[in-house]
Amino acid sequence: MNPRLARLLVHAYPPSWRRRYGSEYAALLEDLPATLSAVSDAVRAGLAVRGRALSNALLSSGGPDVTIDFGGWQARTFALLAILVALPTTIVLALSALAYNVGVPGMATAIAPIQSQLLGSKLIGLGLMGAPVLAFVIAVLPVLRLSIQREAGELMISFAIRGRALTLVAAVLSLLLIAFFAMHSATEFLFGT
Amino acid sequence: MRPAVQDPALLIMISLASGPKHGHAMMRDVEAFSGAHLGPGTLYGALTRLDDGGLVEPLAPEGRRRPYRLTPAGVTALRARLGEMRQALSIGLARVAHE
Repeated sequence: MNPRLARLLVHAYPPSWRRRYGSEYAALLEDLPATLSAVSDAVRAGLAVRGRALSNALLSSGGPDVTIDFGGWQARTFALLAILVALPTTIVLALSALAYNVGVPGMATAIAPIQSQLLGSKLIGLGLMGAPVLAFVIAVLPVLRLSIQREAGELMISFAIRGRALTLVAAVLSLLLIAFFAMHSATEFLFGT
Repeated sequence: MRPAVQDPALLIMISLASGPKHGHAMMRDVEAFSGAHLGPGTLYGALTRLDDGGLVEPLAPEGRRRPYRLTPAGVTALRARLGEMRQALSIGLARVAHE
């Protein structure tokens, strides 16, 4: 298995587990072929350990503090991936805006066949609308930090995002696209246009 | 056909009964003697529980790989578990013999 994929899979586990077993577990993963069953087993087990750690912290008064933190791992790569995922929707919307809102001469005629082909398929339509949501998750997940700690018997939950410029670009782009679709759907619902 | 023994913790303990092993060696050994394929997450999930329970212990790492061995408590627990299985097995075999 590729060392990068192995490191990514190790990050499915909470930091306390990684400190204890991370290095040897990564070595084991690197020894194995990157089959779907190995990857899904590692992801499932990692999330199960995170889930147990989280429920321990929430349920037991003396439970350990929990931090869900992907540590900004490969944040730039994920931000680029998010932009790529959102790109087809961005292009389609930008061309539509140029043709119908700005009124660039000849643009409407030029893109009409492509648009009818793209929007004729429900699957592609749903894909174009769902891509910004997926892009947002891909961009933001690696920079999330959720911490649950106990202080003087009280549960303190803190939530933070470690900002990266490219992550911000990807997140804003995704949110703008999501906002556009939300407004478009609301307008259609309210005015039937 | 599914392997008869599928409890990952039990399979790991049986594997370690023949001597210390690191993760990949355990996976290969378990597959060889039982036909059960333990995924990496399943293996380390069970290994973590056994380690926390004091039934196995880590040895000094060999490079990045860390071998584990059964503790005396682990040997006792394995013996007890296999004894229970032997009892169930002998009862089952005796019953089907009369069929």
